[in-house]
Amino acid sequence: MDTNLKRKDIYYLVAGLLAVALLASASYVLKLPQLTETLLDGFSTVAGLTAAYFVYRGTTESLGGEIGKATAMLGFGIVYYTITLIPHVIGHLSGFRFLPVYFFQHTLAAWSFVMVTYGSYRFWRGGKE
Amino acid sequence: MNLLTVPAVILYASILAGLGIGSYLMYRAGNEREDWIILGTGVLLGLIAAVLGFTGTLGLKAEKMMGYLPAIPIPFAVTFLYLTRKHYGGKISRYVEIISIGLAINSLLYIPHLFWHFSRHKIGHLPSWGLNPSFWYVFYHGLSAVGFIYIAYGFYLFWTSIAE
Repeated sequence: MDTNLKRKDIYYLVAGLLAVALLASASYVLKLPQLTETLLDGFSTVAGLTAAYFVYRGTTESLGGEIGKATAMLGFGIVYYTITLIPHVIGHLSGFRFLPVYFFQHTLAAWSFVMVTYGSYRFWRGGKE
Repeated sequence: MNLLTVPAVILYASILAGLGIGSYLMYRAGNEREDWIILGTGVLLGLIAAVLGFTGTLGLKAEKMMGYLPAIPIPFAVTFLYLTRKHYGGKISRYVEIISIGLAINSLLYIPHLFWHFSRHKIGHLPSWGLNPSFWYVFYHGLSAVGFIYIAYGFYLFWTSIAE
């Protein structure tokens, strides 16, 4: 398959997957508590905020237009999902059960991926012309 | 003060922060009316679901099932991104590929991950192949984090691809 990935992109990905394999094995031996998953979700949240920061810089500093708008929608989906992830899980674990809020959150968590999908569609449509 | 007030307030704050930061990104990028309509539809559906939850029309079971909803759109996103990369060359295409890999990791994991969590609470069944929960916490949440970090890396490339 033809790809535009650079060699180092693939190295980063493989390194990440290996790190997970190592951490999971270590966790298996050490029997780490469930708190670990919330800590790992912290990486997702930081990644989401980092993504939002670069979307902001990318779209404002130069690449606007169709690509910028499509990217902003991808950014919305990623940042909404990752930023609500830990509070959402903590809420479930703590037994906080005010259902209306949870229905709202579950709908918007799903919708954040609709935003990603629509952004991807825009991306595709924008490139076709 | 009720102890559960704290997680509730954190959840409200994160929802507002997510909507705020996300909308600001779209505002700065100059997104058009149709994009705001898509966002508005989601918020509206969320409010409708909230009202249905408040009146008791939708119960705990529905809430659990809603967890599966995000799995529906992601495969479409990955497909569109896959088709998109043919339209652009070089750096843009590289950034699109990285984002789609990150999303693909998360979408492939989503259903088994949720199933596994539910099976821990005796709702579904998923074999653990003799591995303890400590392994699976790190496996699912770690891979998901790697997916999101890879996506962030893609957005970083998106920014550098034009900063030159």
